[in-house]
Amino acid sequence: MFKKNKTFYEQDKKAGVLLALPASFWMLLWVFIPVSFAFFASFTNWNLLAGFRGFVGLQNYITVLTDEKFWLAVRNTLTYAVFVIPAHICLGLFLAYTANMGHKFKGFLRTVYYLPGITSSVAITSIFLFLFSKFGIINQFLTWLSDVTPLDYTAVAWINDPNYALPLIIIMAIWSGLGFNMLVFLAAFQDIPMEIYEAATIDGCSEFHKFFKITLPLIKDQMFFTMVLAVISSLQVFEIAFVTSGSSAGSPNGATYTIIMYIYDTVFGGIGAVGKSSAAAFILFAVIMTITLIQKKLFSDKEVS
Amino acid sequence: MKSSYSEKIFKFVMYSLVFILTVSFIFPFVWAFYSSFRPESVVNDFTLQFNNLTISAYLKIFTGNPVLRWYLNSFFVSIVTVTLSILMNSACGYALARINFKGNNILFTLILGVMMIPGQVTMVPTYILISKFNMINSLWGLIIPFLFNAMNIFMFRQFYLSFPKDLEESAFMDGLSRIKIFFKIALPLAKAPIVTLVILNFIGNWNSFVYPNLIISNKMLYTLPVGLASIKKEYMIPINESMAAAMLITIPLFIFYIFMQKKLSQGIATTGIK
Repeated sequence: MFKKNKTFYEQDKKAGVLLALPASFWMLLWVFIPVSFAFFASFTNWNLLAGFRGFVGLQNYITVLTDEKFWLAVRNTLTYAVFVIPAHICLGLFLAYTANMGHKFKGFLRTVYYLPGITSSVAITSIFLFLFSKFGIINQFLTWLSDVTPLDYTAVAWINDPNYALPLIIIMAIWSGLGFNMLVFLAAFQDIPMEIYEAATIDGCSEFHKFFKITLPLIKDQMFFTMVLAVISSLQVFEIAFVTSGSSAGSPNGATYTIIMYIYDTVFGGIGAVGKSSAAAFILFAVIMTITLIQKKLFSDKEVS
Repeated sequence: MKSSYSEKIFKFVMYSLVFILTVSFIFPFVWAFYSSFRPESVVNDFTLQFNNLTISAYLKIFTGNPVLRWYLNSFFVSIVTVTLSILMNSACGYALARINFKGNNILFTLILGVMMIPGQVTMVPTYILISKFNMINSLWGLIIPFLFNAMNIFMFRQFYLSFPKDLEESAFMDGLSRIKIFFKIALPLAKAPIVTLVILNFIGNWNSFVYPNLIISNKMLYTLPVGLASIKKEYMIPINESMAAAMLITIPLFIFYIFMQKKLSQGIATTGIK
């Protein structure tokens, strides 16, 4: 038997290479070559139509970092993150908590909040543009609200108004991403042993107390992990804003212009400046990489201690 | 008791909040669905009327555009991509978990590294590469470049790390080669990760918009989201048609998801994939 096993493991090596080969080749062709090319192009004047037009050193990076449009994109992206991340975390926690309490609702809530997450951005955009259109349901409600309360509001089509376009994107993002966050927290809650709560109940703890003194500290790690993921994905916000603003990127008036849109628009928006776009992509890449590495470090430190 | 009284209030407030939140989450779908059957003239009225419902919006979309063709394109791209990528990535994950070939560790480290690269960084070079391979305006341009998936390889590797070894050894006794063992035993038994990844990848492919929008400009080759977005772009379409278009993308996927959901949560439970 040993002998047979030996041949089994000897012929392994060839088979291993063979099985791993397609994926490795694809990774080389469709990940490493594009990444290396982008890195190379970021130091050149590469143009989508004209191709290589000479090296420019760090010029592209300087151009991007001094480009007003880039900082507008950074500002919009950060505004987006500042609203979307806390909303996802707080509401996600709240929903997971309630779903975890009542077993009857769990399946229902799971489905309801997950469906927006699997809805096409094209469909989401159509639906929300309709709801938030000038004479749409939301405006009817807000106008009524401003009539009965001191609030001051004049109906506008949210997507055409520079003050309301980004909030609309934020609302869409909260709506579509909440389910995922709820599921993560729900999974985290289920790892907490029920005995802890039972003991706390005997000691006379209120629900409120239990949540803040037991649940939250116990899911600290998942919280942190979810937050890092949320920051990374917020930095890459693009598709909803892209579909919403259609052919003129970031419309109205750059209100929905995001970092990835800058990367996209610099090439496909007309002038085909692959070099400049690649420099912006690598700046973003560096930021995301730094966040990831910090997170990895913090996590592995925890494992050691 | 005083504490139980305040607890009741607490619960009441909480469940009311959940109720309001849930209604506001369902409302957009319900309202869009309802509006897709309403005449254009009353589409903004906040009333429920069922006597004037019509399917004219759907008829107009179907008669004016090759929607069935777009459905076929979407199905073709999603099914082929998911099938090929599951095959490719499971084989790699299996090799990484089970076979100590030369370069195993380096390959695994590279794959972990690739998982950290945000997809959009490579958007422009990927487009250039696709055009160099002459896959612009070809459905293969939506399939070939998107087969490799580091996350899927990682998931399969994790699954195969805890896969029983005796199964493979006895198969080897029966004279099966390692490759055959993978295809005849290891792959068919990886049902849990396969089901989960098929569902997630299918959803991702079905909804994919940025690349198809960039690569395909021939109307007959549009995928569903690109096709339906193009109707909106070409002219100001009435709201009921726009909602009908949204429903045409969404409903098949919802049916697919609700149908598969049980399997998905089982898969999540056994593989830890979220």
